[in-house]
Amino acid sequence: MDKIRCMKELAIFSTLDFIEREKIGALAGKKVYRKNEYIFRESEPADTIYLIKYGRVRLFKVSEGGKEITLDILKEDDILGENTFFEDALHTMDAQAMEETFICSCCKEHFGLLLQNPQAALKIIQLLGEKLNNYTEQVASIAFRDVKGRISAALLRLAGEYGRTSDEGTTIDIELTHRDLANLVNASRVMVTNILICLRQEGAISTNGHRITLLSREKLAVSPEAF
Amino acid sequence: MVTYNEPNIRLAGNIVDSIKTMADLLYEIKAGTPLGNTLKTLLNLCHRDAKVSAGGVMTLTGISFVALASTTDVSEYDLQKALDYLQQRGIFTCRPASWKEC
Repeated sequence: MDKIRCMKELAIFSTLDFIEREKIGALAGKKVYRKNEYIFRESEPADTIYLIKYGRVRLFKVSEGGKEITLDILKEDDILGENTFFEDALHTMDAQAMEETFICSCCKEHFGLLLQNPQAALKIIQLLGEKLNNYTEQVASIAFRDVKGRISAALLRLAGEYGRTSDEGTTIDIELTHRDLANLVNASRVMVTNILICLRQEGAISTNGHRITLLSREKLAVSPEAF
Repeated sequence: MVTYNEPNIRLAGNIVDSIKTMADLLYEIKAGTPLGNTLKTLLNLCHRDAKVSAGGVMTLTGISFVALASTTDVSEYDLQKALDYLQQRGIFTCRPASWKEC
């Protein structure tokens, strides 16, 4: 399968020399997860770190009321299972493949070896930093913005991560249902549908099936205050 | 054998610790728990009213514990638990002006 490359070819290890990349390749486990298959579940022992080669993974927790709360959607080259850093740690959320997803994995000891290489360590620390920034931005977004502002911010962020530019605008190049978006911004699906209609009428976006194109970033005005 | 006191591993570990805290807080806010609602209220009060020191520390003064519980729509018991958690994680610190205020 052409899409499957080895862990050593992941972007985060691109600065390593040939021998170091071969070493990394030898340490990695590899697995293709089917749509809806779990990579790990909350409360399972965290003893493996995962890197996504292709596909998408949803991270979520289940509330006391049984509602699935989406925390993040990860893509190619993203890292998950970082709780493995801690001694005797457990996973604190569920990770589920949203589509066919190829994942490389390595155990804590091998990951520690990777971190001893300065260039690999820098890449991994950058990835972790991006993940921290993403969570921080989401907290701020939900605390300070109304639903329209949160949807606008989420669309701008997704366009940055998955955007494909054309004459028309920037298309978010992933299948994104209204429910996916609702889970991300913590709103109801009906509310998301209504606001997307509103944004379409304002000329900020266009939609084609589950694909959204940003026509005007300026019009995706972010409401600053929610309180 | 990996030695976990190496600087880059310690740095990565610290970031992972912060990721875990922020992911927990994001969950609490999204789930609308008393802790999430308390954090959301405090962030908005800081955004609106706080004085910011040269070091970037935001200070809010004169908030009644009872009023904060009422604004946040949580019980005083839940508010205390939420404030204890936020203090424990080093996100906010509270200094009571009297026994009834935090």
